[in-house]
Amino acid sequence: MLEVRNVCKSYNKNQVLKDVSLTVLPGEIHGLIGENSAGKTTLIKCVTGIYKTDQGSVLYDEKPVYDNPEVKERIGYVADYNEYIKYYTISQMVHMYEKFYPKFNKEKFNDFNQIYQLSVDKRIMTLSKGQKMRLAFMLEVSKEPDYLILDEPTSGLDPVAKAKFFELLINEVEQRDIGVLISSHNLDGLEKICDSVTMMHEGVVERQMSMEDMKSELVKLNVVFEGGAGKKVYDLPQILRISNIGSIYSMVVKEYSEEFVGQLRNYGASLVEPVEISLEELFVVLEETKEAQEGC
Amino acid sequence: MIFLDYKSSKPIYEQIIEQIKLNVMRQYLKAGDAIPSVRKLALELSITPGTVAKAYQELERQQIIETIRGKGTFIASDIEIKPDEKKVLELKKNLQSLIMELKMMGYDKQRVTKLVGEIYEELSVC
Repeated sequence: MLEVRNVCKSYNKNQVLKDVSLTVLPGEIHGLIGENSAGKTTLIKCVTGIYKTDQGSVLYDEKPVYDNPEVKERIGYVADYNEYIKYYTISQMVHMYEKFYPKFNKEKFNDFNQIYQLSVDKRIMTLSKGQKMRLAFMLEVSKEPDYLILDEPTSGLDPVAKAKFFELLINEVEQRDIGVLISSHNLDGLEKICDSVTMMHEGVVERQMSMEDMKSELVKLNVVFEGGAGKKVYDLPQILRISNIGSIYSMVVKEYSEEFVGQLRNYGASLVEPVEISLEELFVVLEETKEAQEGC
Repeated sequence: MIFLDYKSSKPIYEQIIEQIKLNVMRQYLKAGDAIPSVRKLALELSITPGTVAKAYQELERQQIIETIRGKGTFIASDIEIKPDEKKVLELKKNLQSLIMELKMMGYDKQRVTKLVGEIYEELSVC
């Protein structure tokens, strides 16, 4: 189990992480989401033992990661920006990994490359952003780690490569029972692979729950008001967002209940129909609501 | 294998349960057939793994599928169809209101029975 316990981290006087805790169990995929500069990458650098935490601890199966090669060997880490030795070819890079990591599985790397098709004679400096990302993922997974930490792993990937990435990732999780922490702005992608999520805002964990619970926090409704929705409707505190095309209103509501539907019907709604909300929309509405509150 | 209706008010996990059962009834899925893992189905349908897990748990409880650790998830070998009394009572209520509506539209007993027969046929052979 990966445990992040009450981690705090500052750069000079700027506190970037405030009392952050989370756990990732083997076989679990945990998503990390939040707006730009919410502290996701800093957290990931603490989790991978690159940064020393100011307070709190990061433990893998109860062993601290910082300055501990034994633990680091068991972690695969794909950074948001991956640097390798520029003049090396891919096969030289693979060779280096084999020397560094005794568990490195070259066959696995080659299997992955059947899918990702990078030519191994190419020098690192000639690779595009997307190719470097694929290379990083293949190298790190071929280390056969027990935990994978991924920072924006789908950025720069084309739709086909992205779909393959998700497939390969869930295969690893299912076959080897690895624990995954993944940060991404690709919320559509996270939605279909994550078991649980941590939502960060300005260095603080704002929400932490199963993906299912997160998704049921807000409900999207299609509502028909034949005579138009009156001011009373717009004033309902449960409605976070409302828009209309003619008499069809689309709204995102919190604390959805039968009573609320009854209230809408009292105000003249002739049809109330709940529809699936995407994680993307949920995130945007929550962020907007927060900004509105902070603005007050 | 499974088609979801995102506009339906029926929860997604119930739709999964229903469609797997339907596929079993129609014998598109037979005993021992492998079905996708929770994560694969979630990826395919673009839904949260938790939702698929919930559906699979219920199907397992009803002994329609079985998960063999390290091997995967399969349609159970001998699906025992035993009516759940509570569920039957609940379904009877649904039937009552449906039949009442048909009756209001002038359906007599014979036509209702014929309709039920037709639906039953549609579900079993296809």
